[in-house]
Amino acid sequence: MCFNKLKAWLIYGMVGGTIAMVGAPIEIVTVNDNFASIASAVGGDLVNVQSLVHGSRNMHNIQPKPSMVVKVRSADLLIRLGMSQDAWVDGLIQVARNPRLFYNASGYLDASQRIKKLEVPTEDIDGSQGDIHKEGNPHYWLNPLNGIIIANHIRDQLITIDPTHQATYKKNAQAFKATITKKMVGWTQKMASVQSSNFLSYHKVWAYFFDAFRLNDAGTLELFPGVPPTIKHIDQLKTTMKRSAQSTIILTASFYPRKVGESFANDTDATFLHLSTDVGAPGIETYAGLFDYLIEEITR
Amino acid sequence: MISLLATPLLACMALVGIHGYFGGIVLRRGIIFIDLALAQWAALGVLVGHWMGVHSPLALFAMGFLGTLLASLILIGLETCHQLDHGQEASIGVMYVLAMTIAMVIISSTGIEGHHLRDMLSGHLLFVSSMEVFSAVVLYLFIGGIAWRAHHQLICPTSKRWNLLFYALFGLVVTSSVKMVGILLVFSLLVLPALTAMLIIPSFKAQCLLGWAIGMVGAVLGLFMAMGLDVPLSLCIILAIMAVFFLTAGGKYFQKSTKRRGL
Repeated sequence: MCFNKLKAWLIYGMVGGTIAMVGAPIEIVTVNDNFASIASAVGGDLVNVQSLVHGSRNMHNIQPKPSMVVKVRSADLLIRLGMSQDAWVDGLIQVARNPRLFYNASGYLDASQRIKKLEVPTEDIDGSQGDIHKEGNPHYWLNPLNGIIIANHIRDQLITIDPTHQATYKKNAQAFKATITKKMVGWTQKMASVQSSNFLSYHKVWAYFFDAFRLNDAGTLELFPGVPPTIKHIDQLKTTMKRSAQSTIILTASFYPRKVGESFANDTDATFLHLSTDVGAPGIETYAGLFDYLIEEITR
Repeated sequence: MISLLATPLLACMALVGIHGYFGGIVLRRGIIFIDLALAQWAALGVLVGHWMGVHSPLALFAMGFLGTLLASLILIGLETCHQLDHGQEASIGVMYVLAMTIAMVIISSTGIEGHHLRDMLSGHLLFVSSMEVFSAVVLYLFIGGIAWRAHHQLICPTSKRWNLLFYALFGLVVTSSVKMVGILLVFSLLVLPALTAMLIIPSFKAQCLLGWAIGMVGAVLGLFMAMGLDVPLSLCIILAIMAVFFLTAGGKYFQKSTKRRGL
């Protein structure tokens, strides 16, 4: 313990001078690489971004590891998914006892806060409906325009933490917005070829994606996560799809099983796609790259 | 880094204490999978609680405990099965599947999210709070006190009522511990130290003490391993206790074969 402290002081002593001149980078910790990619774009060289979870993972099933606490402990800004999807982050904040990240402090950023949510239940929620996605569909990063909203949110929070560099953050966020807006034109053009197709998904993952590109959401194979679909439900879907003159594309996020979608596709001559939905999955390096990949796969 | 481990370590000490004792009983009575069955019933109780809109942790705990009590009553009702070969084990397995199935039916027909079930069974050792550990210690001391007085009836119950007491106490233990550290670690803390000790010494008392020592060594090793390898704590503790078990079993095997060769 004592030795560690001594070592730490030595390092401070050695690096201290340099840091004083350049200013220490702002430590940003994000729950996954989607937010990490956006945060790096906005923060540029002024920030050091670390992601807790890499690749396409169901954010519900994360087993917290000791290193995560260490990262959160030294963070200046924590960016989370929110919408009750990443409850394990609350545990991390609590154990790390980092006051900069407490709820509503300047270092706490719930990226869902400014998003216009889809599929929010309108009726009163009672026991019979259970508590599926009470706050709406949580896969909001799958609309590129929401990426811009998240980038602006990060910009504002970075300016609160580090007002001296506000010009840089504004410039970077603007550049991010420009890139996405420009790319969006190309993406929309490409997606025109599948505009009339029926899109089926395994689980309600794609609502924002469908919204962004005006796609035809034909329903989900699975009614409830982890519960096998009922025969009646699958049969109904099959009949509807066979009757439809349009082609059917089945999307399954890569962290869900492929079996159900594959067999459904075989029976109905549909196209089956097992796709990553997150930055950090093989071949997906950036937030814009995520949509390059998705649109390339879907329109292939 | 070290301070991060203090509360999890305390939690492990409490768990090793109570599970080391119950492990000896469970192994002697041949009801090894009783913890899995009761934990599943506790999870079912909690799930029903969520369905009914219960939110207070204490009330949910009570729902979980009620689940295990119900399971205990059914198990005692099934005692006629126990005369069959392996009948008792089979009925415990049946109870496990029954709770799991009812839970799945509830999830599929109400839309209650399955993660309540998973949360209940997967634990959160890294995030365990000192208040949780404190209440667990109080609960275990209370249960330990009863076990101290009624030890013989727990090992070899002379009536259905004593048997129910065993199930109720063990149900309380499992309801609290599974929520805290998850079903895999609870099973490992229950069975492995007791089993390893049984390989070495015959008397219950000595096995209990040795089991505690093995559990503690496993927990400390596991916690440090988790830091070094950056793997979730509970998994490392399981692996560490497993290592002690397999080393002992291997040693025993080696000892036997050299003896045989010597003869």
